[in-house]
Amino acid sequence: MRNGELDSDLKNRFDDLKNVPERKPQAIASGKADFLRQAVSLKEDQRQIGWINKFFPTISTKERLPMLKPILVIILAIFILFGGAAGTVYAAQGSLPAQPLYQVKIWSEDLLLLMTSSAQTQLERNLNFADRRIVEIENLQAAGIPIPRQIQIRLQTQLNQALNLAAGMDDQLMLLELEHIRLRVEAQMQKMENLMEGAQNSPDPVMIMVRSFLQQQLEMAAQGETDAQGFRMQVENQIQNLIQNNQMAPSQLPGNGQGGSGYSQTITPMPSGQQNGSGSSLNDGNGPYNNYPTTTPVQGGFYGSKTPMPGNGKNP
Amino acid sequence: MTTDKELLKLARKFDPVILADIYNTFSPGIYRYAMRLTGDQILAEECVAESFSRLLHAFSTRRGPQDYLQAYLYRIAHNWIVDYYRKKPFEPDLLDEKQADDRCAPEELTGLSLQNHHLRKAILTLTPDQQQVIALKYLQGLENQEIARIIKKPVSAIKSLQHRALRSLKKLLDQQEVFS
Repeated sequence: MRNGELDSDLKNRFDDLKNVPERKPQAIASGKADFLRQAVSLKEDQRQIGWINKFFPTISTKERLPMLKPILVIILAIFILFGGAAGTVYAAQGSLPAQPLYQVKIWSEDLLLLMTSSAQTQLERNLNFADRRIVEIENLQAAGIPIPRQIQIRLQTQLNQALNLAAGMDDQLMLLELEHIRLRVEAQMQKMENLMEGAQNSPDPVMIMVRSFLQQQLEMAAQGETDAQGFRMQVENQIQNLIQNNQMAPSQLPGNGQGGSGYSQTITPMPSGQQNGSGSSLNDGNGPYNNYPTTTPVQGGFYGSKTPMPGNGKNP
Repeated sequence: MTTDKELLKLARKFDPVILADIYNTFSPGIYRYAMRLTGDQILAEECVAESFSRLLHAFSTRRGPQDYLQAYLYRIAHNWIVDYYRKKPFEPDLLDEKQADDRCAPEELTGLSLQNHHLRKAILTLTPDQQQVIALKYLQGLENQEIARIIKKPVSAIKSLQHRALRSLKKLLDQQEVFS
């Protein structure tokens, strides 16, 4: 038997098998009707799940179903991750420096500031965070826990940042914001004095430093309300000092008056995009404000030992 | 003239006219194919219905043939038959053979039925590819080119399969004769 060739016996047998009865017309009609009915039903189904095909055009159902499980797992993981993270951040908001979640609270504050683009909102948030520091001091004192300097440093940073942001606004808005800052700082100051009066023993040294710093901020805000130009000059000087001092080792940070009112190290430069050109030569778009580094306000990099403390020998 | 690709493009949109046309064109061939392999009209109808149903489902899930609709339908039909006989032992259906040729005398009919039954049984004992080659080539009368499309193998492989299939088939039929 050659390739593909049949012997006569096999050929005859195949021919016999080929001989099949004709398909019944009723069966053809019925089969066709069923087929078309099924087509209509599937077309309707397809119309209803058309959006899935739109989103997953290249994935067939055969592939889609096994994919469903990993997709659900990923979605669940994201929910758990973000839900857990959000829960942790929420739980951290009432924590104190000695507690493990405090760092989360600090990070969430930094993150919130980082994500805020409006100068006014940033200013408001800085004031709110400064209020939180005062509440922390109150709670720590009530618990009899020594107040860590970390609180003082962050408070300074946040209030300096508020003043810095105000200096970058136009005159009218700056005056409004400075008044707002002054009132808030007055309230913080009042709170600190009450806490210090209520202390059974001598007040915590950090509380004394905080009160002193708040006093300076009050004076600065009040000065800004009467002399906008002078206030901006002062802020500008502080920033210049900061830029210079930033290039020095923390141990070399000045306590020689270069720090101005003592918090210049924590003034964060304004992003140039947030400067308002009206009302002042300092922020007219060409002035020294535009020379400030364009880092985002309130960065953790300015926290820490670089901040000269009132009364610590590094400040006037 | 509408090519298979154009036809399939319209069929995927479930155009009833096109689908009816497809059914009219291809269902007789599929029916004959199933009938020749099963020898059972009911099974053959079932095979046709199932093959066309699977085609629609393939369209609805954006799968199915991109071209050569006939090849696709033969493939489905053959798979259906193989699956069927995998689950259910092969049995002769003398009634259908009688319907196949009512000019034959009763004694002849029985002999023919048994002979056909043995041949079908022998074919379905081959490997799936060999079965398809034999059925498509010698029962359906398709060319090697078309068979190559259906089985998705080169023509040279089809020839080789054909050769091996015929040899095996002959051997199986000889064995059957010895036993009978």
